[in-house]
This record gives sequence, C-alpha cells and structure tokens, in this order.
Amino acid sequence: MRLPNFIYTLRWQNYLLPGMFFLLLVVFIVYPIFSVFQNSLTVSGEFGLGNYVRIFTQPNFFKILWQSSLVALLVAALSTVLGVIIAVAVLKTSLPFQRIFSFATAVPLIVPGFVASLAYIFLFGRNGLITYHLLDLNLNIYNWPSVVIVQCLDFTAMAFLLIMAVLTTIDSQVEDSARNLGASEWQVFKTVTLPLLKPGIIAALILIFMRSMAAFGTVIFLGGPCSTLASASYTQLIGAYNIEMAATFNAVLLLICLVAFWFFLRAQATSNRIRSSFTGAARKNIDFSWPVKTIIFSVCIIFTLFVFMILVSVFLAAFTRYIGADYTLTFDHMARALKRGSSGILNTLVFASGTALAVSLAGMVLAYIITRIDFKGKGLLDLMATMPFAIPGTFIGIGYILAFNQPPLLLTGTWVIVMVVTIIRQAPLGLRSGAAVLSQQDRSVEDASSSLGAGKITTFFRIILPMARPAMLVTALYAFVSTVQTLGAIIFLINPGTKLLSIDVFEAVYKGEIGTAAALSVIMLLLSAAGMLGIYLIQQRRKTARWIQRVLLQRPM
Amino acid sequence: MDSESIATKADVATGINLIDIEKSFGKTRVLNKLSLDIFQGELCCLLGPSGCGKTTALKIIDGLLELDSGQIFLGQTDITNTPTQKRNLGMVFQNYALFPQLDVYENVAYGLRRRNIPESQLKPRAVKALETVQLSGYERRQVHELSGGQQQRVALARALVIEPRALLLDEPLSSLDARLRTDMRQEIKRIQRELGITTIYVTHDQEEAMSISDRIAVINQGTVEQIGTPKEIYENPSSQFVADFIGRINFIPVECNESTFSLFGRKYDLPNDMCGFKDYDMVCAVRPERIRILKSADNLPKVVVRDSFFIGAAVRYKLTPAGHTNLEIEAETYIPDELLENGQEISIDIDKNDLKLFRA
Repeated sequence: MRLPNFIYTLRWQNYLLPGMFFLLLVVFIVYPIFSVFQNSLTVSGEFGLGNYVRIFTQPNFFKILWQSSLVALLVAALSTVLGVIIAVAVLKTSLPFQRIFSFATAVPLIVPGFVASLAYIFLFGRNGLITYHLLDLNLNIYNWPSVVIVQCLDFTAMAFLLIMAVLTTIDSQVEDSARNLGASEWQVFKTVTLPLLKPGIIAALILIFMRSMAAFGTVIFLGGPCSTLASASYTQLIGAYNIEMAATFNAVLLLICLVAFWFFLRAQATSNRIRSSFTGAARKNIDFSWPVKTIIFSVCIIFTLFVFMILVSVFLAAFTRYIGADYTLTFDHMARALKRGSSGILNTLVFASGTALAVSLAGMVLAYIITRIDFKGKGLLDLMATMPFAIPGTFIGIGYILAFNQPPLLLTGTWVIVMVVTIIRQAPLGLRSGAAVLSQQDRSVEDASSSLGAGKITTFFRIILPMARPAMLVTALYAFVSTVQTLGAIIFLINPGTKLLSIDVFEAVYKGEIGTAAALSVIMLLLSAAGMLGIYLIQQRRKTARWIQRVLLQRPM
Repeated sequence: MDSESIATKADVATGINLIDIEKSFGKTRVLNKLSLDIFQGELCCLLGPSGCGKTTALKIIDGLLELDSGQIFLGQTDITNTPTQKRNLGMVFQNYALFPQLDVYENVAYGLRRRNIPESQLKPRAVKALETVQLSGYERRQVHELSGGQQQRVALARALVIEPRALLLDEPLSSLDARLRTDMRQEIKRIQRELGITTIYVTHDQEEAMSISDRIAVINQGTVEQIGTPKEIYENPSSQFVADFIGRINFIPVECNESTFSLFGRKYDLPNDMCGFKDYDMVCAVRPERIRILKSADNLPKVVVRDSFFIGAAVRYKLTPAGHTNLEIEAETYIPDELLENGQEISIDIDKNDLKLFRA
C-alpha cells in the first residue's frame, strides 16, 4: 500500500519534539484562552453576546472600562516622561548622584506593586508617616490618583530601561554634527536626541499601557471606589460569584492588550529598520541651561526620595511595634511571619525554583527547536509561546479555573496548576533568552560536532547546553524573581491549603495585620533582591540592563 | 559649474592658526604644544599614525573638545573660547553622522534652519548644495537607503551649505571601499578647488594625503613633525619619523668622521650642516627607487640579490651588501628588462643627493 506522497517527504523525526511542545502549549495556553472566551459568550447557559453588551451599556461596568483605560494611559504617559527625564539625567548630563538615581530605578524591579501599595499606605494613609504625622493631614488616599502614583513608581523602572536601551545607541557624533551646524544645546536635544528616542518612547508607552491595564495588586489595595477590568474580574468572581462576567472583563482586557501588543510589534519592526549605524563613539553630555537642569534634577530627586521612602517604610513597619503609633523596635512581626508564614516561604521557594529551572531548560529546548530544526508551523509555535507576554495575569488565572476544573484535566486546587501557571507566564522569557543564546553561538561549532559524528541530541547536551549555562542561570534567576512577586495570576487558583508568600501578604493586609504583612513583604523583597543580585553578579551591570531590555522588548532574535 | 552661491570664494575662506595647543585626556598628553598655520584657501592634510592626536586637533578646531591651553585664530578672530555653534565651520565626520530620522533634504537644510534662513532662500541653497555633490533628485531619500559614497556626499553638502569659513574633514573616506575612495578623493579635491575653501583633512593614509593635499602636516605624538608640500615631505623629510612614515625607505647605520662618511665602502661628503656630528650614531636614509642597479661596475659597492617581488609597474629587490650579511636593503627598478636571479651579484649606485642623514 502506498500512502500519500507528502508522508514520505516529511521528516518525522523533526516533528516529534515540536509536536510535544505544540500539544503542551495548546493545552496550557490556547485552551484556557478559549475557555475564557467561551464563558464570556455564555449567558445563563446559552450562547450570547449579553455579557459584552452589559459592559458597554451598564453604566457601572462601562465606567470600569474607561477608568482602566484612562488610568493605564495616564500611567503610561507619566512613567515614560519620568523614564526619559531620568535616563537623560543619568546618561546625558553631568548632574551629581547619577548612580543613586539609576539605583533607584532598579528598586521597583524587586518591589511588587502590592508591596509598594502597602508602603504607600504607611506613608500617606490615614495614619501615614508623612500625611498625618508630618503634615497633620487626614487624606482619603483610596482613589485613582493613588493607583496612578504607585504604578508610575513601578513602571518608571521599565521606561528607564527601555529609554536607556535606545539612548546608549545614539551616536554622539550625530549630536556633535548638530552642534557644528549651529544648534544650541537645547536644539540638539529637541531636534536630534529626542526624535532618535522615539522608538524607545513608543515601546515604553505601549508596554507600560499593557502592564498597567493588567495590574491587579495596586488597584485592589489602593483603588477604593476605582476599579479596573483586572480588579473587577476578581470582585465579580470572589464577591459576586459571577464567573461569566469575570471572564468577560478579562476577555475585554485581553483584547485591548492584544491590540496594544500588535501596535508594539509593528513599531518594533519599523524601528529595527531605521536604526542608525552606531560606531560606539564616546557619549557626549548635553549641557542644558540651568532652568532645564534644575527641572531634571528635581524630578530625579523626588523620584529617588519616593522610592527610598517606600523601601524604608516597609522595613519600618516590619520592625517597629505599630507603624504610625509605636516605633519601639521589635522582632515580633518577623518572628510571627517566619512562624506562620514558614510554609508559605518554603512553598514560594520551591515553586519559584522549580519554575526557574523549568523555564530556563524548556526555554532553551524550545528555542533550539524553533531556530535549528526544520519543520512546518514554526511561526505558530513561536506565536503561542510568546502569547503569555500579552496575557494579563488575571486572565490566565480565570482561564485556568475554567479550563481545568473538570476531568480529564482536573487540576484546580492542586499545586500543579500553580506551577504550570507560573511556568507558562515565563515562557516568553525562556524562549527569548534561549534564542538570544543560540543566535550568539557560532553555528559552525555545532556543525563541527555533527561532522565529528555526534547526533542532534548529543550536540545539544554536549555542546549547546554547556555553552549556554551562564545565560540560562540568568534566565532562571529572573524567572525566580518574577515568580516570587506574582499575585494576580495565582490568587484565583490558590486554595486555602496551599500557602504562598505573595498570597500571605495579601491575606495579612485584609486581616489588618499590618506588621506581619510588612514582615512578610520584607522576606519577599530579600528573596527578590537576592535573585537580582545573582543576575548582577553573573553579568556586569551594563550587560544586565541590556538583557532585561531585550526581555522587556521581546526582541525577535 | 557655478558654485558661487554656496560659498563665495576667498572672501569667506580664511586661514586658521593654531598656537601652542595642549590637550590631555586624564594623564595622557594628546597634543603637545601643537602649532600650525593653515593658509587661506589651501587643502592641508593632518597626517599621522593612529593615536597621534590629529582627530583631537580637528575636534579642537571645531570646538567639540575644549583645549587645555593655547589659542586658535580663524583669520584675524580669536575663536579659542567660541562655542562650536558660533564658529561656522563645516565638519564632515568619520562615519558621516547624518541624522537618521531626517531625509537627505532635511539633513542638508538642518544647518540653515538653525540659522533661521527664510524658506525662500533655504530651498535653493539646499538644492544647489546637493547639485554640487551630484545628488540632485535624492532630496526625499532616507539616509539609510543611500550607499556609503552617497552618504558621504550628503555629509559634504550638509557641511558646505552653511557657507562655512573652513571645511574640516575627519578621515572622510575611511569607511568606503578602495575604489570608491579614489573617486571620492578626486571629487572632494574638485569641490574644494571650485569653492576655494580652506580645508583641513585628517587622514592616516599617506597615499590619500599625498594625492589630495596642497600641503601636508605630519603629526607625531601630539606635535607637528613637519609641514610642507607632498613633494617636499617625500623628498626632504626633516626627521627619521617622517621619512619612515611617508613611503618606503631604507635606513642604514653609517659611521662618519669630520667631513665624510662611508656607505658600503663608498665615501660621501657630509652635508655642511651635519659636520661635527661624528661622535653620534648616524643613520643614512635612501628611497628604494633611488638605488640604481648595475650589472657590474668595479668601483661600485657589490650586493647579492636575496629575493625579488614583481609588483606590476616595478620590481622590488631585497639586497644584501657584500660583507654585511645581516643587513637587508630594498631597491625598486621600473620597467625591468630582465629579472635578476636570487643569489646573483650586482652593483648599486646611489647618488649623493639621494641620501639623507639623520641622527639615530
């Protein structure tokens, strides 16, 4: 019997591994997405667009939609402006304290949004260190401006890195030639530097918009009457038990994020085309006039002070009896946190390490498959693995509840599902950094290995993996840090039995145990900081920044 | 071609005087009391090995770097403390430094816009400048779409359109391939002649410097070693460094007494200004093409052919003089009748006027 021709020409061994990944990604990414949309399109058991209609017609729901968008737009704009100012101050001027400023922009990388929100309450809340004790004010801070402020703090770090990525590639000779042609220092900045920053600014605006849309912790903690699509989906599920509405909020959220992501990819493609040829000429400072310098410097100082106050207040709350009232030094909170939260800490360590290991290893394999094996459907595999980058945490949380609450994949409430979520969330990171390693490796070394008689698998384990080890460690550490800080995606999935650090903080705040929450946060910050420090130690400072920029930008590599 | 409107001859062009320029980067002294007189309307090359300070000197002239001490005059004006924006010098950077976000026309118009030139005058001037560099019709192209040579032309037009008082070129051809380099060299020379603009041209390529310059300033370790026309520099190097840096040359240690010295057993008179150097180690320098090769002549020094290289227009021989087994000299003959065999013994003749003596 003769089978159709293409079966003989297809090289089956090339499809085994891709097929496995394909299956995994379909089950753990595509299927949950499908489930969310399916639920959002269900009205009392029947197919219908009713839920979507409600979002656009019911005033309180429609308010959530435009509030989310407005907050995200505002945060994106403000953070990007801040990022540009700080990056210019650090890289293009000779202002003092540059190292401190750039350190301040790195702090939010280890402070998750909900911990920053907590600290913000310590500082500006009803019993706040600054508002009540220093200024004798009694402010209600639970509103959208607070959300915007804290998110700006968080995302300015990201904007800074993205702007820096572009700023360091601007050839200073181009600025010099503008000076030579008669441009004043301000004109050099306005007509040359700033236009050349455009790709970085666009990338920052879009990415921060996406992240802010998806942000969960800050809104839940600080939003008060202001809710966003992400926070509303939580209250719909937990408070109103309306899973269909929760799904619909997340579906709308995802659609907005996907549109933004599409714009982002398009902008990336064009900016890659017109990148200037950089010869590595020494960077030259722009000598702004003193009013401009003063403004730049003040912005940097205010941002830096704010960041350090946030950090200090968390520690203060953790190690004094009651922040705002009794500043006696105490280790009670820490003792309680260590005792009650011990299983949470241990679980977090196990989950984060497991995720880190899986992400770096699987990312490497997936990157190898995509860049080195010849098979049809490559683009689709790449797309699926990149998708989680654009999927909000709450979306994936709801998606997993819906997708895996019945046999044969009854995973809800088990630790497996938490693990899978954290791994899937980091899949784009694993893939991109794996691809980066492979693109830097000399292909001829692999060819040499093959020509000496090694098979593909031997080559992978003997040649590629050993060479990729430092890069994989960095990936693992970054995945570790991100996982330690995750809240939005797993809050839906955790059942009372499974304890995790971020969930413990969340619950402690809700029980009003401020001291314990702060102590748990301190532990979390230390874990994140240790991971980040590891990254910095493995690579030099500059390289770390570049690496994170690439991960943030999802550069096609 | 009428280029008068881009930069009117002579009355715009001015000479440039550098007086005792000093510049250090950290502890490294890059320019060491560098003084240089550049005449109005000439093309002067700053030639030297990499790291000699020639680009630093150019950037100081342009005002992109501050000097530690010294003075710069542009014509009669002291511009030492004038910011680069006000110097009105046209600069062409090594990698062109075009504005990647602007098209060709806007690149050229940039300097005019900074000078608030009204649109009615701006356009004809930009168009004219592009015409001068033969890029008419490229106005709306993006710079990244252009070839290296075309980008070079845009950079030139952009520098010329502001009617600068002098043109500064920093290794302008170093990123072009060899063939294009020769073409662009002639092109730059043509434009420079037409406009009569004072031009300082930094290069490390001696052939480029020789072919393009009115005068060459050889820079070594942050100071001017020699300045003169290409012919003067080649035929009459003032130091062993200049002799070595420009073209190929043989250095042969010689011993002298009061008024004569001997080279391969042949006696020569010491030049007048060298008398009295007998206690110093002396080096005799001779260009390979100045060594005449003779089949045999009894009264001339004998040499053995060690190796020969056919290089097209000439043959280059490695020769070892009789009795100097570890010395090797190079000779070049043009239009050779027949190639000499390795190991063959021949005679050489060097004219007194072709020898230069230096203190070692």
